Amino acid sequence: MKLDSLLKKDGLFSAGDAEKIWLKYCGFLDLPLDEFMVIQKALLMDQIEMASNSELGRKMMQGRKPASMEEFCRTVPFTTYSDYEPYLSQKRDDAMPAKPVIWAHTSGRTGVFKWAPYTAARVGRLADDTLAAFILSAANRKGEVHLWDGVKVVLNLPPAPYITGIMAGFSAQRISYRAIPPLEEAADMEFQERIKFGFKMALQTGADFAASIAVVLAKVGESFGQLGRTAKFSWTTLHPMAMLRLLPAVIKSKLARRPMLPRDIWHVKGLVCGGTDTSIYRDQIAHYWGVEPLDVYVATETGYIAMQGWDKKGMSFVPYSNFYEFIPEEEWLKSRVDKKYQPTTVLMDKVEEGKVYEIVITNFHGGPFLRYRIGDLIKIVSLKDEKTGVRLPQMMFQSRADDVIDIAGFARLDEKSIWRSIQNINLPYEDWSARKEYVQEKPVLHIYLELVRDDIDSREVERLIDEQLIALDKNYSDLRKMTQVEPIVVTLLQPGTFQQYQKGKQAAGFDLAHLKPPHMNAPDTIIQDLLSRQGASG
Amino acid sequence: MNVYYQVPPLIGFGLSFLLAVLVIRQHPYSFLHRIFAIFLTSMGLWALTVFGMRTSDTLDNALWWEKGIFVAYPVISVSFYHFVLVLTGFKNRGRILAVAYSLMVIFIGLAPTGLVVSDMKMMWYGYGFIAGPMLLSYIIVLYGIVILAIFQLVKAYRVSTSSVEKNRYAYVGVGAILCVLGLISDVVAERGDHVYPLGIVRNILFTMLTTYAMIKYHLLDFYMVIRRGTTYVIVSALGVGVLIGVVSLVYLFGIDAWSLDTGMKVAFIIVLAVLLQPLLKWTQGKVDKWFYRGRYDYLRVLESLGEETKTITDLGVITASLVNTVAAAMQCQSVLVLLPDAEDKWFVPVANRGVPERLSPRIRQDSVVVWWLGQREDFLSREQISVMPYFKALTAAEKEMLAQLEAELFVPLLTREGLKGILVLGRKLSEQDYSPEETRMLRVVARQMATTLDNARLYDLQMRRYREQALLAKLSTAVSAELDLKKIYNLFIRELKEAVPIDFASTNLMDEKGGPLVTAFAITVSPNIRSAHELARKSLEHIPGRAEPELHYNANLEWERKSPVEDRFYEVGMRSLLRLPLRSKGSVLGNFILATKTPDAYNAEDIKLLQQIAIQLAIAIDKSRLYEAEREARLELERQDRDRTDLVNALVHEIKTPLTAMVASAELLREELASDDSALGDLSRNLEVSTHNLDRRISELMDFAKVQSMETLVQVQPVSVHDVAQRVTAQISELLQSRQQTLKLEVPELPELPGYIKADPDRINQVLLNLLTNASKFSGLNQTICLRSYMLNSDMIFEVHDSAPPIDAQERELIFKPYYRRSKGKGSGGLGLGLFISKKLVQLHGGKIWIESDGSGNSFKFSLPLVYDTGGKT
Repeated sequence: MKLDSLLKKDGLFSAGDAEKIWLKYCGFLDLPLDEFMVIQKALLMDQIEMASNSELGRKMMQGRKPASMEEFCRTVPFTTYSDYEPYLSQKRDDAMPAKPVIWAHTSGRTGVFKWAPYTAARVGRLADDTLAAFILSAANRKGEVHLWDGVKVVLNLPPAPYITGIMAGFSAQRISYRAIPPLEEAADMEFQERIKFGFKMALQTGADFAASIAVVLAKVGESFGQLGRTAKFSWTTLHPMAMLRLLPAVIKSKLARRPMLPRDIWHVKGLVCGGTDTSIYRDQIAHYWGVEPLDVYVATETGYIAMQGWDKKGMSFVPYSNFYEFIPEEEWLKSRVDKKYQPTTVLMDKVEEGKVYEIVITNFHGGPFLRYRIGDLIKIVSLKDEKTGVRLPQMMFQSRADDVIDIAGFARLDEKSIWRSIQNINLPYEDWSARKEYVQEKPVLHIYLELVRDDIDSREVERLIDEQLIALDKNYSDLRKMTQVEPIVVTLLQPGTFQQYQKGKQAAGFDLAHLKPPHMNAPDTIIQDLLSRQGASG
Repeated sequence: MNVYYQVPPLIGFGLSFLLAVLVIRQHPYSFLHRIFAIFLTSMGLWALTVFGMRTSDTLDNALWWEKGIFVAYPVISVSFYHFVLVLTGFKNRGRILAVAYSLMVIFIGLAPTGLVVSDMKMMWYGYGFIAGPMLLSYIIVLYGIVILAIFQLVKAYRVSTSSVEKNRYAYVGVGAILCVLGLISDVVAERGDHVYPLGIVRNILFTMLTTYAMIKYHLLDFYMVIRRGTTYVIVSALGVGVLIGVVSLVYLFGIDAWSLDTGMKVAFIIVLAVLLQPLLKWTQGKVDKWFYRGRYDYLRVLESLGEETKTITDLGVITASLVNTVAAAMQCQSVLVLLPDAEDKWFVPVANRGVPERLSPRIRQDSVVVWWLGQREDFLSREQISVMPYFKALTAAEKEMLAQLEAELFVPLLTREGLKGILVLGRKLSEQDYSPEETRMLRVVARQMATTLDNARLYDLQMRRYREQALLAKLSTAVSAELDLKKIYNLFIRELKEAVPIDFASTNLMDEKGGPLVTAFAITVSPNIRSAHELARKSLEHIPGRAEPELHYNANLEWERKSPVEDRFYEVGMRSLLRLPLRSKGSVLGNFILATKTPDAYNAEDIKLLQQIAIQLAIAIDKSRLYEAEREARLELERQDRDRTDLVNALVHEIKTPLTAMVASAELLREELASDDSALGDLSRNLEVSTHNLDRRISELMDFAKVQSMETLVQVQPVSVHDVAQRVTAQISELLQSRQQTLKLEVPELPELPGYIKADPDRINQVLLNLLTNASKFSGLNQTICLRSYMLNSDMIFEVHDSAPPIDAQERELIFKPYYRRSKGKGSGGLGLGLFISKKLVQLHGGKIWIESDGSGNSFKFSLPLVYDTGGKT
């Protein structure tokens, strides 16, 4: 299939047939589980056929050509990025199961850029799934469509060849939406510059949708509170259309006796957010923007894996992009201890409610990744959503498989738990980084935290975080009750430390993804670098 | 107050605003909807001003409102034009719209000045306006803009490939035409002609039609509306005519029908409606015939096709009728019938019309398309495939195939047992959607045809199997009977041509040692291929030296070519290429290549048949090779035998000549010294015996050599068994006497025998003499030897019984072999060739020889066929 034929404009948006638009883009939410599996099977067999005709596929399948879904799971070994590296780093189009039309790369948070080729069919899926996310983000009930030709979409996303940029670029070919800032203009801007430019432009044009990293929307909301106090008038704000938006917003906020919020200026219909922090900032974003964000689960190697429904609760798996297998938590733990251990997997129709799994994916549509351990843990929150009538297992992102901090083999704390506990202590903070360290040969969770205020004692912060973790994590609570150990150590970094770090990295020419230290398990070099940029206290 | 004059503008006003709200509520963020809402709002304001004008109590007030009408109209005209440009996706509309909006502003400014409408006057229907000096310009410009919009719609209608879009443009265009007609009626009315100003009514219709086109996605088929509308107009006109006729008729009888009470009137109308039903049906038929000009007859044929083909069993005839009738009746670009293949793995095309030859559309049985048609038992449209989540599971190849096929509608052919076929229809020539009437008709046809097609398919399949079995049997017989490979190749190709399409065929073989492939046979019927052998040879340049053990089939070389071999065949116009391994006894002998210019020429059944044929061919090749090898070996052995016999003959000859002299000399010497009892006499006797022994052995060797080289000929003649016995008895008597042995002769006299034997008496004598000599030699002194002959069935049996120790079974197996000597006989001077020669001589007579042993001794028996004396007849 050629890219042109896949990415032509969808006439349904201009014709206004909401029923068909819903069916086409969000219809997977109506599938019963058995039909979901039929789709998975059909596309997997097609992928096996393509893979078996390619050099990479033959290598990954060890020369076999499984004749069934079960045989595929039984005989093809798990893979990780290192298995593909020789082919992908050199962009070996000829070795891929199908000819790629574009190459995406990851943020490189692990220190290595991971390349992922996209075939025309996969790009088409990315575009369609992006539109599905927009439709669902604005829907309050099944079948409700607010996405039409001409809507204005604020895009606070890294550009191509990041996956987010590819998603934005190609979805704009399906529907005539107005990207803010325009994709061509924003292509060469720095990330922060792009965000500022986008919101300034949206002051004039208005905004119907926004796609963003959750923290950006939260920070923009926060900064609006300060805007009323430190309002600086620029040509942008003096633009008549901007004035028409700002003045009623100011009046509205004054009448409500609160700072001005984004929701006073823009009546956005939908917000689409990706990343592990969406659930952390969910309430904050809903407060600032007036709508709950729609959480999507996307990875560069896979495209869309899952997205929330119109109720913005559990995420449903998208059936068309990847074949999903799930390694039960116990099996995953065994494989962590014994690297040679080949854990067993279950398929979607065998997952259990409340259980945690490591997700294993196989690309469809000629993608390269087969039985690929992407390194994410997910939790099946329910086997269906009674309220919305969705009959598919509902999931939530649990953590990165390698981002779990194990305390004394008892409590496994993931990024989300730690982040939520920091958020819940209600002390404004800039950023944080946590890792497992040993103090007097005892394992502790060491949190490097930069608070906005610098008059708080680290002991007090340790106590507050400890309280939150006890409340949030049952295993941690049990650990505390049973062992009486105090596994939290907090180092309070001086205000501006993270900014200094970021500037330092920026000056050194680091990529966007490497400007901030990772939240979890940062290596010694990064922690040393961070500490060296301030006078550590605590 | 004149209700008919004043209410329509009020309805127009209310309707326009209501529709504007509906449009905006449907898609509040759609620019197209917003523009259209502006158009509707301005239409509503226009209707409001018309209402104001018509309800004015004075001419001055009416003039004030009339100017309002002329202010509102520019907005209607330009917003409609803007809407049409956006709807039809007109590019670079900025400048045109700038001009249009400028004109709109100018004429809005001119409208209140009195330049467009100067005053009002009373007309027969109400208020009428008096034209100002700019009215003509106003009308030309603003209605010109509407006409431009109509042109734009016509243009877009022509280029659009979407039936939905076309239908939408048709509705909007007709609405705009009504608007212009309304203007004409208003202007004509203003001139004082007795015409009612219908502008408001037509604008209401305009509003309703365009709004319907905007807010509904599935619009009624425009042509169907026109067709039905025409029928009802004709029937209504006829009805009114009948009504007036009846009223006039009864009036002649003094009855005023108009003065009848309401109940009577209603009853009359109901009766009239019932009576007009056949007329309605007849008129609809006539109108349909006119609308469907060219295909009306096909539509009728299609309706009865199922019934008419029920008794036909020829699948080709049925499917050809079906595709041709459907294509003509539906006026569609292509029609295709897919039925299950023999293995029920695919739905394969059995007949098509309009499908490009390069395509080979097949659908897997486990495809979601098949699943859908079987489960839902409903039609499947291209749009459903593009929209429904289930069809995102179509494989890349399936998507490609469906895209190339441009199929618009998949009609399931269902029987009680499930999906038995698929009727695939391409786009309609008119680019319209299939109307509900057409789909209803297709549903009926599909239901009727499904069973007929399935029965015909099964019958066809059975017939095909019979034909295949007959073909295989014929080829198998040929393989058994014929060893000439060239003849076999020719026969195979001749028969294959009857079964499958072939434009090129070659057989390439490796030698017995697995050497490189060499073309053994190649033919072509394609004018594009100059030399079949040349193509075969060139194709072998790209095939590995050894033939591949797997079957390779490329159904369409145009779509994909995986090797230079396939490129080579593609270049000479071939589209299907099949390479079959030639296997025999587990090893690959070579390959059999078939190619044809038809894509997807060989289905699963064909390939299965061709595999069987390839096996037969391999057997023939293997058999031929074995025969050739065996023949060569035999010739070599014969040559060696001949050489050896020649040598023995030469040797014997060389020895025999001096030996004859020696025998004669020895006999003379013995005779001379017969009475000499000295040592010299003994020596002479010994010399004689020895030279005789040597002579006999040399003779044996000569016989053996002759028997071996098949040079020994028997000259058969009627022989008396008795004479033979007597002769041999005389010859052996001397030996028996020397060993004091007795010969017991049990040979019946001639009259006791019903016939005689046909034999060479010398040879039979030789055999008997050999057996008797052996019997004497191995029996003890003073023992009795018996010679017997008797009849057994149709044979004459000769038996020589000795008194020697019994020969065991193992020795009996070996005793007739050349150079075998019995243990007791070793050293007795024989070469061990006597029994071998005897056996050969008996065999030359058509008989056999054997031994039977018991406690009393051994019986050497041989049989000779008995010839009955039947009065000269044998």
